[in-house]
Amino acid sequence: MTQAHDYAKIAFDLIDDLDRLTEVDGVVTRVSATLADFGYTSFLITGVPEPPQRLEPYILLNGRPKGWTEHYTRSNYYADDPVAAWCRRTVNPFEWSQAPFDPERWPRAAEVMAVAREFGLNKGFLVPIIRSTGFQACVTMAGERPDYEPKAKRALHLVSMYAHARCAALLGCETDGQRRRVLSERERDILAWAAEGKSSWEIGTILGLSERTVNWHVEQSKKKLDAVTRTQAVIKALRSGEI
Amino acid sequence: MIHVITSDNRHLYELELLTHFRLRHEIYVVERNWYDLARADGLERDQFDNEDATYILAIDSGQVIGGSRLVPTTRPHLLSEVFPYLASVRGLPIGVDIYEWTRMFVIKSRREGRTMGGQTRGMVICGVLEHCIENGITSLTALIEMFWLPLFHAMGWNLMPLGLPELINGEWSIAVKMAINEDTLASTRRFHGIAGRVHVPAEANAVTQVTV
Repeated sequence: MTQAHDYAKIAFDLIDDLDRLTEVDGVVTRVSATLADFGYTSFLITGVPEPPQRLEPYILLNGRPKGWTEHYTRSNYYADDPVAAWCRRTVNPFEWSQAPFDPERWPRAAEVMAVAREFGLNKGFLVPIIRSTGFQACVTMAGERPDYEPKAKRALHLVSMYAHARCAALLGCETDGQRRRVLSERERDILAWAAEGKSSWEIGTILGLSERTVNWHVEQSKKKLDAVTRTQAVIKALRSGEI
Repeated sequence: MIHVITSDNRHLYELELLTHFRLRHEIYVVERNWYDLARADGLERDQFDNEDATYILAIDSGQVIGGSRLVPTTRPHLLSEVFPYLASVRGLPIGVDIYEWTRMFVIKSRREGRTMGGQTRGMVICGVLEHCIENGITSLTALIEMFWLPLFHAMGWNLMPLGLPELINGEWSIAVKMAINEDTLASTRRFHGIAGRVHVPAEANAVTQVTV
């Protein structure tokens, strides 16, 4: 069997399996395993809003290294991520290195890419997706020495469209365009960090707020979501696609 | 309203069909630059526009505003004659209950912004589905651009890819097999907020019966 057939088989097997997966956790595991076959150790399935909006409330599946996620969020790298910027300009999949930017005029972009490499994300591939609502989304993946064969990229293009669709269906975000969000951006940021297991004090440190302010925002969110505890608020926010 | 035109009733729709070929030229040749389809007469017609073709046209106050074409897979069709390599992984599905869906269009003035939930497009898609269900067609095959996949996924369709994506006319495209059933129609109607049938009532086409 040729290698070309293997790529297609890996992709088609995943697509068959996705239909049977009814839990997001199962999708994460299955997609991670497939991308690993192509040499990608990190991936993200997410909406791609226009900065200054932050990325975090739009993430569907986060398969990135924990340290990178934290550093990226804390440094607000999204605003200066040249890969995300290019994603908002094209419908065709591209290698991260093809995202154009001038390091002289945009040094922060160079920093984002350099730090990504420190986390082992040497090379990446991104598949832009335009949701039925017109909202921009993507599947982006990276690794130290991923497979850049043209056939592999075509297989990943297909895999990405189906993986995004499955996540969107399970998390109910295809209706994003119609649904009214009830939480403010600040409240979503804070709950997103709470969902990562951070305490109010830690969230305050990350976002540059006092612990008291964080707690006040959490209380507001609980009221809006009709939740009794912080955990319940996080669960409700996740379910309704707020975070 | 949606009208279904076959070789049985096309004499009633010659004007609308001609308009539809002209609209296809405007959309595919002028707007989308598919120069392979360009013809001197300004009508976009290919070898599959023959007596086997079924046309699903959206006609509003006598004006053609959208449409689609279905061709039986048991006869020569686009995927079998021009793009067979697009089905290299799963093979090309062929059968009396499988039709190929091509040339779906909505005229520019009836498209709604960047969002793909346009009402006219919904009418055309529901028109295709109603025709399939009422005529025992259980699957459609189609060559579609990859950027259409999220719309079909959001409408709740089951799309089986037949091969890996290929660049066609500068767009990443893929051949798919689409399973068609009552659930597909129900979720598509729900997605577009369409309450019931989009086909013209049977009586409107009754002339056909008389002439047979």
